[in-house]
Amino acid sequence: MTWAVETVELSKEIEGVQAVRDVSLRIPAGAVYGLIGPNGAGKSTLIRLLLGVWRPTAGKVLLFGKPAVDPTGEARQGVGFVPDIPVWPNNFRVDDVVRWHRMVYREWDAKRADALLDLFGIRRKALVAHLSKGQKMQVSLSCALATRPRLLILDEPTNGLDPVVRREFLQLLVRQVAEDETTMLFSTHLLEDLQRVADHIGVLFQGRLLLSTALEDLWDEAKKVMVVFRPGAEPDVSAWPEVWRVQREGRLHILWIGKAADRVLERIRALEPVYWEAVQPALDDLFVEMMRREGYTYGDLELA
Amino acid sequence: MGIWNWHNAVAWRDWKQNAGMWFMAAGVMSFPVLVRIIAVGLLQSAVLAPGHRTVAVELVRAPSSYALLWVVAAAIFGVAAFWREWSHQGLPAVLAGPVGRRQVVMTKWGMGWLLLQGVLLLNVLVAVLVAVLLGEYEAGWPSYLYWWMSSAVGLSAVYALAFLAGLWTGTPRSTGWTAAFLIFGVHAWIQWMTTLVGRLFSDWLPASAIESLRQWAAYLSVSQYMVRSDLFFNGGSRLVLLAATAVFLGLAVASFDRLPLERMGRAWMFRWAEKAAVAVGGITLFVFAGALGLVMFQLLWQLRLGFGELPPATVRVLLFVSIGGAAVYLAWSLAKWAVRRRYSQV
Repeated sequence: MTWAVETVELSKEIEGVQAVRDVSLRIPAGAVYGLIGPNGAGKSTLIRLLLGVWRPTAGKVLLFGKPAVDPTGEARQGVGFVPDIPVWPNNFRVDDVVRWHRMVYREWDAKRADALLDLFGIRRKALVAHLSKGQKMQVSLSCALATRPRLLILDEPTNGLDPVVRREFLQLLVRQVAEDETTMLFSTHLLEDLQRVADHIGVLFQGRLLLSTALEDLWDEAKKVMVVFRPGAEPDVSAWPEVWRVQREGRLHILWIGKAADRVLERIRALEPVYWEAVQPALDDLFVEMMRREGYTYGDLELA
Repeated sequence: MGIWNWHNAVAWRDWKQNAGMWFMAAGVMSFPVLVRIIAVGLLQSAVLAPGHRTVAVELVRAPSSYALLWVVAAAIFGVAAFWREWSHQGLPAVLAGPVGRRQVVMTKWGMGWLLLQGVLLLNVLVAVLVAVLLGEYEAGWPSYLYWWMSSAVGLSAVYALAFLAGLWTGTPRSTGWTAAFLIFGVHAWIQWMTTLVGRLFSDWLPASAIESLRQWAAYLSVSQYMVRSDLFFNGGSRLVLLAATAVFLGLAVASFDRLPLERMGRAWMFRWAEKAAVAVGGITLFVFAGALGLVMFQLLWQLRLGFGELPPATVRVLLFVSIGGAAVYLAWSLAKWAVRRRYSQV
């Protein structure tokens, strides 16, 4: 299998804080990879490391097999990037941003850039500094897509966009990426976005990669099981290592299973329960469970 | 298909964002020549022949009169390379694209340096042309060739130092101050410190040592080579400036390769530069506080207590060191407290 992105025990320390620690990640070519994590999880840091903008403290990054920290920048040829806050010199107009991309990317597609900018209704002579955040993102996305990238990296692309623009933005993104068979990596803390477009998911928390898998595999592995055991034959399900959490409502047990759901279901069946049902959990529920297990707190607030 | 040419792209981006500062630097650099051309023109129209002749000849004969503005201009060219990068923080966006760090820094260096040398050459040519046209040029061709080459070397060193200062700092303000201090202020700082200490302990320290230290300090400020003609027209000095330019360029390329972009927006990009600045501040405070304390003690000793002579040198040294040390300790503690307080409120 060809890996678009491969990191090996990647770590980054910033000002004494371990922002990314021992991240080993593999993204297959053609995947749409959603990187999710709470604020400060290290998503943006990881993206900057992937792009070779920041140097890792330890470990390495390969983009299509080539080191991302590349003195010639050649490894980033064919890698489109949409930053969370697009920054350009104050006197740059949209035309100038387009010109910059045209000059540095070999595969620049002027027709596509024009079509996308027209679609978004962006004036070429407008100063980038005068555009709204959404419009800046649209300019960045148009330029990134017009480079016909093999790998497209987006750092919280829908953050700060209104729901209508967000939906259109994602639709366009998915359409273009599917058309070009581009590998896409995007970070977000909006599970709704991730569920809509991603086929692979990575969960980052306090710089550690808790999970990196295909969504399909995740749905096979993770389950929410509702079960009523026979009276007197109730096992201590909370002691089962695969079970993340158990909720009780009367005799009904609700089990959150994070991995190896088949194994758990087999054990449940062997106990011949009165009633049982396994459903696919919602991604946000799963994410919250995962964060809860990691002791995610915000100040004095702890997830109940 | 796009045109993949990073050299043009980085150079074009630099042109777009730095043109204003470059024009300003070119204006500052051309100011003496322009003023003199106007002055000569006015003198000619006023039929003040002896006057305009003197002015014209001075164009070539007294390059030191240009030196200050030219040094300022070279410093602006150098500082401009990173000034706007720090103000809008757009460098990561550039380096996220298919451009290498070394290429970026070399293009930035090359653009500024070529413009500086171009404006310099143009100014020298215009100055000499004016003098020749007036028929008053007597210095001879080798003389202004020598002037141009010396200026080219001197200004390259100034440019290189400003470029390096701009690269090491992470905010426009610190870029300006650091470049100004390194180019114009190092010798003055050392001279102030040695003068102060030398005067306080003049009965104890050899005056010749203090004076030679003051003299040698001039070699540490690149601007002094240009401003002082005795340094400027010295062959060894030009070699020193040439070597300094090469070292500064090498340091700039090596530093940019390791530029910690995660520290953008800080006063200094490199931790050791921050520590060096703190050390300079600490030494300054130590000397000034120690000197002030010692002077007050001496006044008290002589005027209030009525002792005619100064206290023994050992006592004065002890007092100087104690007061200076206490001031530095106090300032350091206050700074740490302020930082803790600031972050505890965030």
